Amino acid sequence: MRRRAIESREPNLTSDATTIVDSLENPASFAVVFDRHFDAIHAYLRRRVGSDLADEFAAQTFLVAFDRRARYDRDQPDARPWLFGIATNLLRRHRRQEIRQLRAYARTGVDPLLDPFEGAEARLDAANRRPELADALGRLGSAELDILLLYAWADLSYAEIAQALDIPLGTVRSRLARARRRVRELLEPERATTGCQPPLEDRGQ
Amino acid sequence: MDEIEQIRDLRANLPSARADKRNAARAALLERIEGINDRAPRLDGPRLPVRRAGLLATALGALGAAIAVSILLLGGSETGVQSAAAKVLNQAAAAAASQSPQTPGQGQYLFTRSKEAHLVISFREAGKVAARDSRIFKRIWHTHGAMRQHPWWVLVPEEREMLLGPHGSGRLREVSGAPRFLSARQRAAWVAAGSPPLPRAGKVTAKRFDKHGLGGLFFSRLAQLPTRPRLLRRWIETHDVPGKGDLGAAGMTSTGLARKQPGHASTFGAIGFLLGESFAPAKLRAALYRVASELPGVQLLGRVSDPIGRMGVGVAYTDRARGVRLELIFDPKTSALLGERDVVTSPRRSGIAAPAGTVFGYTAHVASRVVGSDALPPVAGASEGPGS
Repeated sequence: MRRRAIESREPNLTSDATTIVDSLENPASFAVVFDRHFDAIHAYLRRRVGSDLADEFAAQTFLVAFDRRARYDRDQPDARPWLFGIATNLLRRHRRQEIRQLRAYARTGVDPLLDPFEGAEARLDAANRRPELADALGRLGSAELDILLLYAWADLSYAEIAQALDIPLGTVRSRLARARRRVRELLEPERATTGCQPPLEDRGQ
Repeated sequence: MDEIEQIRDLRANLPSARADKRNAARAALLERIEGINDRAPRLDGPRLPVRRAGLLATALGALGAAIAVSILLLGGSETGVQSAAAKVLNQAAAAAASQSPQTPGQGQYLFTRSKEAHLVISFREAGKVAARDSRIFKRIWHTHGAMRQHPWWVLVPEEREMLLGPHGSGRLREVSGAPRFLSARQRAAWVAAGSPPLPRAGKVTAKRFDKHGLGGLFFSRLAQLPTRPRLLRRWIETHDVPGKGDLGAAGMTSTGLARKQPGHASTFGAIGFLLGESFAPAKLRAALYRVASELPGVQLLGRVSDPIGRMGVGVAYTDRARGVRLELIFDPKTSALLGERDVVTSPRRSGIAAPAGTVFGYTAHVASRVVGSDALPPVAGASEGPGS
């Protein structure tokens, strides 16, 4: 079953859109957006580029968001797609580093983003073939990688990814399908050639 | 397991954001927000502060609703404009008034333990590099122009234990932890200066004092201070209370001239000092929170962690002239001050070569109790507090 970020839904509070609109008049209210979403944005960035850069980019994401809040689409009650889009754009400057880290993971079996003292975790990764997965991700194009990781790590729907990256919904669908097929081919070439379909709930979006 | 599930499991167990990094990011955002407020056009002249206070109250009300609803749900309505920070501080004042005093009797001492950190600043003097503790450095800043060249600064954690008798005599012991550079650039500057010795971890400084504890503000004197907020504020403003100079611990600016302490900033710093080691009587502590609640410019930070990770409610005062912010974090149920934190908000104005959001000093109040002897417990070894 697809996991949704239900922890960010706070029905008793105002929507992000209302808060952001309010912040145009009362800038301090924008801190509410930070409090709701910082952890999710940081977690996504941390998985992509590690803690140090995540600290920097997560902080930067909210500064950029604050500066651009006048352009926020008021019809979108949830600000997560917007924030993940900003964070993803910030990552683009470090694309090469991200790819290098994935390849180093694939080559050595030890994730460079892990604390060096977490040897047991690294060994577990090796046992779970995660280095091969890192290799597969490192071979994707940047547009496909962004969509795949926004889907898998940020837990965004197709429509939310389209909103985050400001691209058509159909483009999200086709790129995500291509990215998943490519990863399957790299992980299990034999299974991929049999034309294995993605799970039903994913195809329905 | 399909490929999406495998990707979801990849790097799923990385540690979450460190509290100090989260706080730094939040501080940077608040600084940006404050910058916007500063640039807002002044529409109605002399009435502006009231108008801005109203806007801030509304905005912070929304903030508080999201992060600490229970904190803001106070009984009764108050007349006039009152910020969210003021409401929280008034609640703390009510809690403080109901607390039992921790006053040592004859032959007793108040034992306190805290973890803190302060800057040690290096400078060139007669062609050599020397270093000074920022807590005393600021006093001599005016007279040593050469000290304006400070090649490197380090944050030195310290564990401080104190025994304070009813009339101001007592003992103090400080054990230094491992120093940390504020930034990679500071470390590079230290290497460029020839890697001079850094403050030694594990160094123990112990002393006895007589009648001079806490700047002369021991129990028998504190009991005589006014407890009406207006009078207490005036007393703080007109007396040399420790803590008044701590906002901007370095006490300097990039021009090397220590600016005149803005009144509200120094009052806020003094309140932090007087609340700090739980030695003030309950009525005085309540009055201190009320003075803070009436201080213009005090902001609610909401639920934040203190320097050692305990959760509390934070309020802050930003000294824009000095480019620093002092944060006080307290337990809203008991009113106990958990900790204080000094944060850079403007590297240029503060003269501290570290990014906005950098913590350059902190105190966490760990223990406080009345004991019957003036013997300090054995040194447990230097402890290292959180840094930036």
